[in-house]
Amino acid sequence: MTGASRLPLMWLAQRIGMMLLTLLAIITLTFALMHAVPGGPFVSEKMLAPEIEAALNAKFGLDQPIWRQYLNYLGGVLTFDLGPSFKYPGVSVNSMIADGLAVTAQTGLLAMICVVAVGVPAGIVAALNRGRWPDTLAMFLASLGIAVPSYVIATVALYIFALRLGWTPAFGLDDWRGYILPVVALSGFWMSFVARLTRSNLLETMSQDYIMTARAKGLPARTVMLRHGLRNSLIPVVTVLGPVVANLLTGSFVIEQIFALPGIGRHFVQSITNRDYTAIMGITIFYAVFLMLMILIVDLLYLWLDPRISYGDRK
Amino acid sequence: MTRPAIAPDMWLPLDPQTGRPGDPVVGSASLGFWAGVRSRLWRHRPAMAGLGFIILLIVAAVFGPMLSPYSYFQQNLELSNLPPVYRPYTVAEGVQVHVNTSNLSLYEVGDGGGLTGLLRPDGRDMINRQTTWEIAGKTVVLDYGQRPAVLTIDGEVAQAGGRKLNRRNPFGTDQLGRDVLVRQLYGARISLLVAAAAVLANFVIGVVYGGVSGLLGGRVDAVMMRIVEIVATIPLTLYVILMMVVLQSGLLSVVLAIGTVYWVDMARVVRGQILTLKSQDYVAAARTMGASTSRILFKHLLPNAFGPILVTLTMLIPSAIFIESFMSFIGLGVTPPQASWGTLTSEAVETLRAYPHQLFFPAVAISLTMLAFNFLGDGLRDALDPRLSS
Amino acid sequence: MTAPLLSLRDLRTEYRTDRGVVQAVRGVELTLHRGEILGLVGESGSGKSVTCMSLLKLLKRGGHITSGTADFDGVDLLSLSDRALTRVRGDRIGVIFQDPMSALNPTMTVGRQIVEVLMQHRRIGKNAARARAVELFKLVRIPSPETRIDNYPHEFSGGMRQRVMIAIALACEPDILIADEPTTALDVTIQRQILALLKELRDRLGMAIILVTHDLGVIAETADRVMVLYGGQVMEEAPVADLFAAPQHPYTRGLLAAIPDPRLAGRPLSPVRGSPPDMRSPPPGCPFAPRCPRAMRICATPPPMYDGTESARLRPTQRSRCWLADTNAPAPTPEPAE
Repeated sequence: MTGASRLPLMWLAQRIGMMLLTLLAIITLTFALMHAVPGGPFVSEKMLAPEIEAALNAKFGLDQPIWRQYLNYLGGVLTFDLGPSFKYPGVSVNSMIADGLAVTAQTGLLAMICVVAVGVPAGIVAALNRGRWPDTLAMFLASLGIAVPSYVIATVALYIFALRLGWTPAFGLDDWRGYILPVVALSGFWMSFVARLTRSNLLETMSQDYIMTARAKGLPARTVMLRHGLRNSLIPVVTVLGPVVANLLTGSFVIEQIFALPGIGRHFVQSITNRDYTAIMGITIFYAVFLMLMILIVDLLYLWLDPRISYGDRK
Repeated sequence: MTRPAIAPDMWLPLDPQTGRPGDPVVGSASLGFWAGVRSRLWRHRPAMAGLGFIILLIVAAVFGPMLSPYSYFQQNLELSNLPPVYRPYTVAEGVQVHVNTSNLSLYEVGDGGGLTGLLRPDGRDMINRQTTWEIAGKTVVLDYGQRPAVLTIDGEVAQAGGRKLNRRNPFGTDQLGRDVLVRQLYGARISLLVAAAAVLANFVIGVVYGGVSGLLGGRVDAVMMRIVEIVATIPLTLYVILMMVVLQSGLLSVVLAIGTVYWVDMARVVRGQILTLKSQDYVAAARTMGASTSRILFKHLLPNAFGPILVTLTMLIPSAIFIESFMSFIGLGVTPPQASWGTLTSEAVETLRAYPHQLFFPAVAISLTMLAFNFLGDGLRDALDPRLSS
Repeated sequence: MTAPLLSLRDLRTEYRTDRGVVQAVRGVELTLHRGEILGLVGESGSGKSVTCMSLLKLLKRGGHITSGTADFDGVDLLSLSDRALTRVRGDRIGVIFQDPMSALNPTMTVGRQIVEVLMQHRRIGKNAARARAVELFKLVRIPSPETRIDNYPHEFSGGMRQRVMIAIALACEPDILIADEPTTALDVTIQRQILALLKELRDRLGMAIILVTHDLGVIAETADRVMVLYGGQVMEEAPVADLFAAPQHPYTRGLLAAIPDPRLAGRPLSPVRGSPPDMRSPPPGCPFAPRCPRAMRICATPPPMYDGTESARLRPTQRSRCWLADTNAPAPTPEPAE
């Protein structure tokens, strides 16, 4: 009830400062990595005439000293301009990201909803039926979900449901059914992970002393479980949501490729195979910013959920 | 109240020589910590199954390719896309053929039941969509005007026989006619190599980094952990990808890329352990006795942090194996003709419509391996911390 | 004497664990009168906590009551269903636990944790419940109750948290308060305050208290009557004064000898030697016999409970489960002179 007043401004300022520092490190790192690539960016087109190569280098500013290029790039990033694509003339990295964002965000969000809406209830059911068949079944499936790589889930599902049974389209998102397989493949691991985490947290919470207190107060078993057990056991689940977002992102590289979805992940993988260095840098930085924001949101959510947490400057 | 009479000698004090009635049971609590861990792990059935599978996999990966008559790169385009199991047609007594309805070829069935050769057609009728062979004095016609194609022998529609195993290539062949079994085993070698590299990097970099950070504490710790925090902001997969861009594809690059970034979790775990252990009395005791920092680190702290290190390690192995296959799947890992489970899967995806069975082996291999390591890790964690076991 | 408030007969509770069945309580009898503070004392594992928690079937996983009756106001608590028991728990019998840090829900304000129990058992609105909670805070002497009520448990000190626990347990004015090691986790000075508070509340509200502790000092200060438990059985039972003045059971004597006594400064303490029995396979006779300095051959046979009314070795109000209380037993050897 004192959520707003508990918002620690000092902590927030520190966090944002740290984020900027991290971002700087990441920009520097990716810049350095991309410029450490042996040969120039145009090395693949071997028959380029020297004068054309020089013209291209001038166009992309590659004829300037490296520190100058770095500063230029940094300035660009700070003004939200990730520069032009090396491979597609007239296409900016910004527009590449904007182009794929809708697809990636849609599938990612749906996968996220799946993770929470399926993983948490499955974990609760397993914990409530500890040692009985629903528990065994749920934990068996969770073990599979954790062990089987997403690209295997995706290809096997693609074969069974799209090619053999024809229930879903094999590629594209023209139809709502097109979302099913990519979302399931994308969320499979984290659904299982969250189910296991929820189960073990709930069991652990239910063995806490304050659960015994709640029972000793004469509360019905259901109330004890829902009001005292569940809430506290779900708080740690929130902490994994940050990593979930990160992994849904990387997962999307392969899922978008398998189902031929025009998302950012596919653009990213393509720019790697194309050696489109500005695109690689730009998308990496976009990911980093996005992830840092997500982690910040999760931390704030955690602060709101758990009154014990204080990030430094509460009275 | 009446009580039964008690014989007077019962009131005599106990003779210390004869022992006391009902000596306290000396519990099995005297068992050592690691003995307890071992016995709990031994009883953890999934973990034991996982361990058994891993040992089997290592043995197969090391010795399997040596025993195989084929190599992972040896191509035989005539014998491409052969199945591991097929249903032969009998042309004449002792003469059987296998029909591949996807590429409309006939294959000779050898004596042992292996698919040994491609049968060249004796006539092609493109207009009527028929191919003709003369085998053992009979005219064999494959009519592909209809789907699936129909085989007739001397004008009669032939029926396929019972399932047979392809003894020449037990797992079949891929689209370049390479033996899938031997490529699978090479894939296992790569996965295990990557796992070993990750373990090594974890041990050398992660443990030392985390250990030093935790042990020194103060400003050094703060700076070192800030670095880890920055590194951990973006997913390791992304780093590995960026490294691969710089290093160019190839097995060595994958190993190097994974080795360079896969120590972060371990560094955190070790640091956390060290911080907890550091505050315990025996370390203070060692310090007062003048033990050096490195001595404290290696003789006192790490052995006690060994349990969590071991668990983190077994949990990191599957994720390293996964990342390699993932990279290879999207084309950033090992380069052809090298076979990794990731490239095998992505090759199988190319032929998914015609030869779905090619997906089966790499998918099962990577999944089982991941399961095995996960089970072993779970078992180990439960065994090390019996409080948490369910 | 009036009819007892609670009468527990032949309670047996066991825990099924991976490593065998632990016989935690083996035939405990207990009588509690209105307004009385009954101390239950013993080492950890003696069955004192399990006895109390069995009354309300608040057992941890694997715990089962295998026999017994607990007559409370004409109702056998042990035969009640879990649903019926919820009407007793928190309403007619309140419980406070050892560690007030872990016994309060960390993510709920203390106010809500009191309001919750009031609304469960009383037909009462939220505002009325809140007002009552403030009143209860005053009762247990928590300063500025109106604001403190909206705080979370971690914002209280250990002693204050235990006061909150007491307030929760007393919210519905129970007939019995079970206090399971209420002061063990607290500083010595805070301990005294809490014990004084419990006594004062007993005097004001008239409820009976079962005080579970391993600390005979706490018993001496607070309880009216004591039961000494060992190996899941009652070893000795007596009013506090009698127990301290004339302990009969060798185990009780051992416990008393282990208490530092300022008058005997300089003399070494004599702890009870050996370790408690493994309750998966308790000794066939007296559970204390393996550690008993006065063990006799007869001790391999379970001793009966001797009553002070029938044995000259005991004070009239005293009961002891020891063969030495038998009039035929050899007389106790005199204490060695100093």
